[in-house]
Amino acid sequence: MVTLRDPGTRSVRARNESAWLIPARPDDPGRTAWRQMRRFDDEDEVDVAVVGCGAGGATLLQRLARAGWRVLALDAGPFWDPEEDWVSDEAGSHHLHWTEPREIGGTDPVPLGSNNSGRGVGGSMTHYAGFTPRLHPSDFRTFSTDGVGADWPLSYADVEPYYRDLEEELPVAGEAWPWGHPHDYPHRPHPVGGNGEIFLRGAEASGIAARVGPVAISNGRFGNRPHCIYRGFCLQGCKVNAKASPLITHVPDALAHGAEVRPDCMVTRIGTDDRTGLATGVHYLRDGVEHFQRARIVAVAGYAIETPRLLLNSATRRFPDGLCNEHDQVGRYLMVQGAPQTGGRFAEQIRMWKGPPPEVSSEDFYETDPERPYRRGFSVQTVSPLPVTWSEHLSAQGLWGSELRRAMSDYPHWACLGALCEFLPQPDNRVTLSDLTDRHGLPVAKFSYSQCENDRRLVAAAQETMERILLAAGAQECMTTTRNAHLVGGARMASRPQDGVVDADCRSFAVPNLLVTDGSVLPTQGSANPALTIMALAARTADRLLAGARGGAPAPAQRGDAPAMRLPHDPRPERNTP
Amino acid sequence: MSRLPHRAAEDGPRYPGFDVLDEAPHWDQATRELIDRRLDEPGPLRFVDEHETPTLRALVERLLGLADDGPLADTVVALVDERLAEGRTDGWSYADLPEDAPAWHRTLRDLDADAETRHGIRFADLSPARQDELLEAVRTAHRWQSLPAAEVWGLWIRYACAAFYSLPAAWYEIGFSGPAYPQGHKNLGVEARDPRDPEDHRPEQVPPRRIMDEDPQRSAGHPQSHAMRGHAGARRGSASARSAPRDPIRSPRAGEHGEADPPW
Repeated sequence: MVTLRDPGTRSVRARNESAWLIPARPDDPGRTAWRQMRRFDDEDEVDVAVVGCGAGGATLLQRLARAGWRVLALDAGPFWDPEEDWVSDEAGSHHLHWTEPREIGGTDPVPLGSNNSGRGVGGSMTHYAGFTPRLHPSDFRTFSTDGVGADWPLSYADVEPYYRDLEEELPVAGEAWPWGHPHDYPHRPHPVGGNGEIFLRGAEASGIAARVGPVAISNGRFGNRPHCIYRGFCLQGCKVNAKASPLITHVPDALAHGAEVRPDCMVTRIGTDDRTGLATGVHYLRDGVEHFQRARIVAVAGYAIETPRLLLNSATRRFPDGLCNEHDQVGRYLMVQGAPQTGGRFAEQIRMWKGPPPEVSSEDFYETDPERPYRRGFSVQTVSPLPVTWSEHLSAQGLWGSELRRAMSDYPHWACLGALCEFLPQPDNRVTLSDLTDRHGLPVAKFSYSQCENDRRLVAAAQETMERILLAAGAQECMTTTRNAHLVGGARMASRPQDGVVDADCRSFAVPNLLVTDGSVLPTQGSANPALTIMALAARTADRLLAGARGGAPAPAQRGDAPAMRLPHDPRPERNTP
Repeated sequence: MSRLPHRAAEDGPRYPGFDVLDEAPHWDQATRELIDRRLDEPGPLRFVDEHETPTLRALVERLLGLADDGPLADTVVALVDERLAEGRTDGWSYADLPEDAPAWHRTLRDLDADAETRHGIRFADLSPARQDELLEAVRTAHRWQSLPAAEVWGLWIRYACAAFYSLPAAWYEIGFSGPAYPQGHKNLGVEARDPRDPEDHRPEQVPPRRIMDEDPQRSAGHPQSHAMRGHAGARRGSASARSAPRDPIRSPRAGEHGEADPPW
C-alpha cells in the first residue's frame, strides 16, 4: 500500500515559502536580509510565546504566523549565519551544542552536549545527521500490542498527514519505504558513498532489506537551496543549505508572516498568575538583564532536558512542585535510544567521510518479533564518524598512545554502521533539579538513566546484526562501541493527568494556556530519529490551536479567519490587527 | 598558513604525497581562519599553572604517543589548555566526578601524588615506560585516587584526542582529506578516489589491536559488560571487537558470547 500523492495538494511553496526566501548562494553578501522582522515589545501581549526555536518551536511558530497570530520565539542561543558561524571542522563546531552544565547519573549515565543537544535557532536539527524516518503505526500502541512502553492518546492516522506535509517541506529524499506504513518520498534517493555501498552490499548478502534514505537533504535544487555537495560535515552544520533545519525550512516563512525570533534570550521561568492558574508570559535574561514577555499562551519547546527543567524551575505557591507537576510526572519517562556503532575493516579504502553520514537504513528489525527474547526492536543506519569521533571509537577499545595513533592511520579502510534501539520508557529515568547551579544561578538539570534488561538485549541484538551485515560485505574484522542517541520524553502526552503532563494536543493538563511542543511529549520513541515526529506533532498542535481547541486558553487577537473566543474573566480589550 | 611538522612513521608515511594544507586555499574563509588560528604559535598557558604544566604535557605526550614530537605536543597541550580556560566543556559531567575544569586540576595533582607514592618523583620526571605503566594502571582500575577511574580516563583521552585529531598533521597521518567546502566530493563509493584523496601505501596494515584485552568486568560476564554504558571513549568495558570468522586468530567470538549464533 503506497500512499499516492494527491495531485491537487497545494504546492509546498504555497504552504511554506522558506526555501524561496533565503538567497540562492549561501555566501551572498545580502544573505541575512530575510531576517528583517517585526519586533514585539515586552509589554505587547503576544498570542503565543514559544520557548526554543528548534524542530518543535519553529514549526509551531511558522504555522501560527501563517494564520496571522502574533507569535514570538525566544531562543537561548544565537541566530546562526551558516556561512560565517559554521565550519568544515569537528572541533570547531563545539558551539553548535548545548554545553551549559548538566549532571548525569543513574547506572547508565547518558552523556549530553555534543551527543544530543542543540543550541541556537534551528535547534538540534542544525547538527543532526539528517535521517528523518516516520514512526510506525505500532509505536502508538506498544502497551496494548506488546505489553511494554505506553499507548499514545493519538494514533498514527492522526499524525500521518503532518508527516506527509513536512516531508515535502524539508524535503526528504529516499527510496519508496516498505516498512511501517509504506510510503514514498518527494525527492529521489541520493547517490551513496563508500559507507552506504558497504551497507547495501552487506544487507543484500545477508538477506536483510535496506533502503537509501530517508534524509532531509534535498536531491536537486529546492527553491533557492542548492544541491548537496556531499562534503560529509552534516553534523557540523550544513553550510550549503542542502540539509534541512528549521533555520532554513520554517523560520524564514515565519518571519515573512510577522513572527519574531528573539535569539540570545535564556528563558528562566514561566510566569503564572496564582489566582487564575494561567500562564502570563516568560521571564528571560538577555545580556544579563531580566525581562518579562507577556503572552496569552506559552509553548515550551526546549527539548527533553531543558523543558522539564524549566517547568520545575517555575514553581510558585500554587504550583509548589513545579508547573504541571501535581502528579509527579514532569521529567519522568525520559528516553534515549541505545545507539551502538559497529565498524568494519575492509581491504579496500572506504573513505566513509566522503558523503553525508546518513545514507542507508534498514527497519527490518523495528517491530516486535515473538521469536526473539525482547520486545520492540531497532533500526540500522549508516554513520560515518569524522576523525575526532573515530578516535573515540578506538580509545573505547582500550587503545591509547602510539597504538592508538597506528590504529587511527587505518581510518580510510573502515565502514561504520549505527543502530537505534528502542529503549523503553521508565518512570525513574528522569530529570530533577540538581544542587549545582548555572552561571545565572539557576538549578541545573540532573538526568538519571538506567537501562532495563530489554534495553540491554536490544543492544546486543543490534550489534550482532551490524556485525552480520559488515562481515557479509567482506569486513576483515569488526569493533563496536556503544553510545546513546536522541532524547525524547520527560513531559509526555497521556489520556489523563495521572499519566502525563500534556494531552494529545500538547496542552498541559495543569495550566490551560501552557503547551509543550517538543520531543519531550513523546510517550514512546520507536527506533526512528525523532526530528520529523517532533515537527509533525508541533504542526498538528498548531492546527488544533487554529481550530479553536484552546481548552480555556485565552483567545488570540481577532484577525483573518482565526477564531476568537474571549474568556469571561479576561479583562483585556480586543486587539486589532496592526 | 603556518604548518606543523608531519611525523612520518619509521618506514615512511602511510599516505605520502598528500598534504591537507595544500587544499587550504580552496576552503571557505571561516574554516581557513579557524584552522590557521589552531596552528598559531601557542601563547602562554592559561588554565594550568607552572606546577601543573609539566604534568599535563607528560600526560598528553603519553596518551598520544607524542614524546618525540616537541612542536606537535606543544600545540596539543595549548589546545587542551585553551579549551579548559574557556570552559568549552561537552555540556555534562558525571554525578560522581567534579566538573571538567576542577576534575582536570585535581587529577593532574593526583597523577603527581600517585607517581610520588610509587616512585618518589613527580609524574613528568618518570621514564616513559614508568609513565605508561602508571597510566595503564589508571585505565584498568576500578577506582583511582578515590575517583571512578574509567571516568577519569575518559576525561583525559577525550580532551587529548579532540585536540590532536583537530590538527592537519594528524589528518595527514590518517589519510583524511579534511574540510571540503565549498568544493565537496565528486567520486563517491568504495575505492572511488577524488584527485585530492590520499592514497594508502600500506593498505595491508591492520593495526595491532588491544581490543581483545580482557576487561575484568567483561570476562566476569558482568551483565553491564554489554550494556556498554556511556559515551564512546568515556568508559572502559564499553566496547568489543570481533573478527571475520575466516580469521581464526582474531576471532574472539566463541569466548565472548558463548556461541557463534545466538538464538536471536
